[in-house]
Amino acid sequence: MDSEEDSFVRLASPQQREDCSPEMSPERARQEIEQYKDLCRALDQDNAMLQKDKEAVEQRLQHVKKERELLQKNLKQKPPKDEKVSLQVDISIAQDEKSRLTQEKQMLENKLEEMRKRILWEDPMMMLHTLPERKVVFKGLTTDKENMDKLVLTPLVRYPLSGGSALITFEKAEVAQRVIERKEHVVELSHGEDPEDLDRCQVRVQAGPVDILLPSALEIGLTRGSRSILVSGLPSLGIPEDILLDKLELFFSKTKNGGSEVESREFLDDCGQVVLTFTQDGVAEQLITRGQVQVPIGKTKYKLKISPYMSGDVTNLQLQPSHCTRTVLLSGIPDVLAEEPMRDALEIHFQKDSRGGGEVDVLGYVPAGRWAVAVFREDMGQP
Amino acid sequence: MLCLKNLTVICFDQNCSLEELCVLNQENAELKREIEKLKEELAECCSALSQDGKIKKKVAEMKVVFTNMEDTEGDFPDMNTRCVFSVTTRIPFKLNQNHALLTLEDEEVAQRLTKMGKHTVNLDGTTADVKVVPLTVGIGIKFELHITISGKKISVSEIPELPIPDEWMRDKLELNFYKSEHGGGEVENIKYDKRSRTAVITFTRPGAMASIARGTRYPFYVNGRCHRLSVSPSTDGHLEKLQLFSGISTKTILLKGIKETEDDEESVQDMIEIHFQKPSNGGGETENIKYVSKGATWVCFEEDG
Repeated sequence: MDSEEDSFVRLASPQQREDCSPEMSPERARQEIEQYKDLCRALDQDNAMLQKDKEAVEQRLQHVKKERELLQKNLKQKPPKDEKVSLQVDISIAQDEKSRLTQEKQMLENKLEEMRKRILWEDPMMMLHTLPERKVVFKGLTTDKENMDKLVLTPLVRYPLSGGSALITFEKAEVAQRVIERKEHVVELSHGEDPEDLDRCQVRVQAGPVDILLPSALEIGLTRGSRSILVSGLPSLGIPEDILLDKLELFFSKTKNGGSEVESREFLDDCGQVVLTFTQDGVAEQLITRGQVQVPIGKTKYKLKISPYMSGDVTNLQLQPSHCTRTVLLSGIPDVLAEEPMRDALEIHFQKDSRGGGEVDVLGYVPAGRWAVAVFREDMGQP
Repeated sequence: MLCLKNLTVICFDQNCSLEELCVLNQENAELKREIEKLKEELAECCSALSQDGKIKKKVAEMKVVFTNMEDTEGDFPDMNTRCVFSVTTRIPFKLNQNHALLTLEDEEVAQRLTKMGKHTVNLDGTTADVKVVPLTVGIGIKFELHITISGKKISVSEIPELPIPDEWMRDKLELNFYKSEHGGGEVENIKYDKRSRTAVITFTRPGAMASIARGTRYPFYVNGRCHRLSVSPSTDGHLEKLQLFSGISTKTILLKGIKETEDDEESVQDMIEIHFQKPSNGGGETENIKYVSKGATWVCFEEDG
């Protein structure tokens, strides 16, 4: 605004002119002419500036007009008023899409983080330090690439044996093989040593191989209990088990210890580990991440390890028949003698080399009409 | 002047809105790209996960013998075979060339040797700079596998699909299995699933099909044709006392730096053992040693005790 004022030349007020004398001195006249000349120049300058401004604005007007034409073309020749409206509609559509996409992105990011956490958990190296420790030692056992990854199992098979049968385990596999090959055996049952004894009789028994179904391959599906923890490193204090469980539950039920309400607690078999399940989510994970917790039991604080609790299901099981090399199944044994004498008679018969038998380790007999359970274990003897 | 201003305002407004629209469109395009990337990463994660969480293992061959009879409880036998298989801990470990595993009788001796770190061992004529290096054994698994093999039920699969109602199919199956010539007997019950082409057949008496091994091809005669069915005893398995643990070696140490010499592997092994048996070298009573001079060997860590 100052500049505007500056660009104006103050004209002398009419009063001032009236005060002047009719006779003007030439000096005065010259002064006044100069003043009017200045005035004229200033006005000329103003005029020029205004002309320039006018031209600039006209140019801008042309420019904007052109842009508008372009916009009109882009916005499908709508008149300016409707253009504005449709533009607003497009904007709100785009805003809606943006919020939808932002939501989708957030959801995917959450899912990805969850998945990554799960992979970290299931990454063997990550898992290793969260698991409870057990002492292992090298005892000189070597293996090879083919067998190194195989599961070594100790079998205990309870096989139902129906009546009129017997099972014999020979010391040597060749003997068993021989007995099986012979198929039928005539067993003498005599009460006395006298060959003319009328009580003497013979029974025919059938000998056959024994095949036991054993697992050859196994598939286990592991699940990590999301609300459970495994507590290990418990000291053996000689206090009753349920008291120890009480103390642990009390400790882990407090939020100041990083716990929450405990849903269940129990000892995990005989290895001194306890499984605690919480009612709330997230609690277990936090504790597992901490890894170790100082728990006061009685007057002392013990350092306990917190691990994930794993449970497993058998998802696939393959069985293969395994031939028992040293065991023979005898069948078709008639019920003509009491149990004890019959068993003895069988054992005596099959121990004789002359009868094709050999040294007998075990013999089990089930009289006809009854049944029993035959136990099979790992063969520690000769192959 | 006034109309010029209006036009400027309108155009400015439109420009603003247009800019806004442009910006929004750009943002949306960017979001779409990010979403595509996230979906790709998620798919990768999924494929990685579906491989985990499952343990597939072959079982080492077992030999069994009859050892004793057991008293039975209850009068009515179900004639099922009940098995329990306990896992024996065997954690495989790759012993590399110029490395040795040494088991000491005493944990403290093992600790001391580890703390000492470097040991200069006298071998025939030369010395070897032997170092105790960290030993990571790995994950061990322990469980009890309980298996029940039915004495009266069999699982049948690969049953041919026939355009007949289920009831008729069950009849045909029963007729096929009640004959004893291939092993078989009176049928108590049949469950047939057309979709999976399987059936579970329960016999009245146990021992029918007692001699079936898994996967036996059992003949099925229907419409003059002979089909081969896959037959096996019905089995159930579950795990108990599952434990996953991290194997910690407190008595066995890993030595490295035992370079190949002219002597044979066993001699070098003996010399190393002798060195570490001497208390003057920081050692003590040893239990086991294994030295590898060529290639690598797989050994097993077992549970202590």
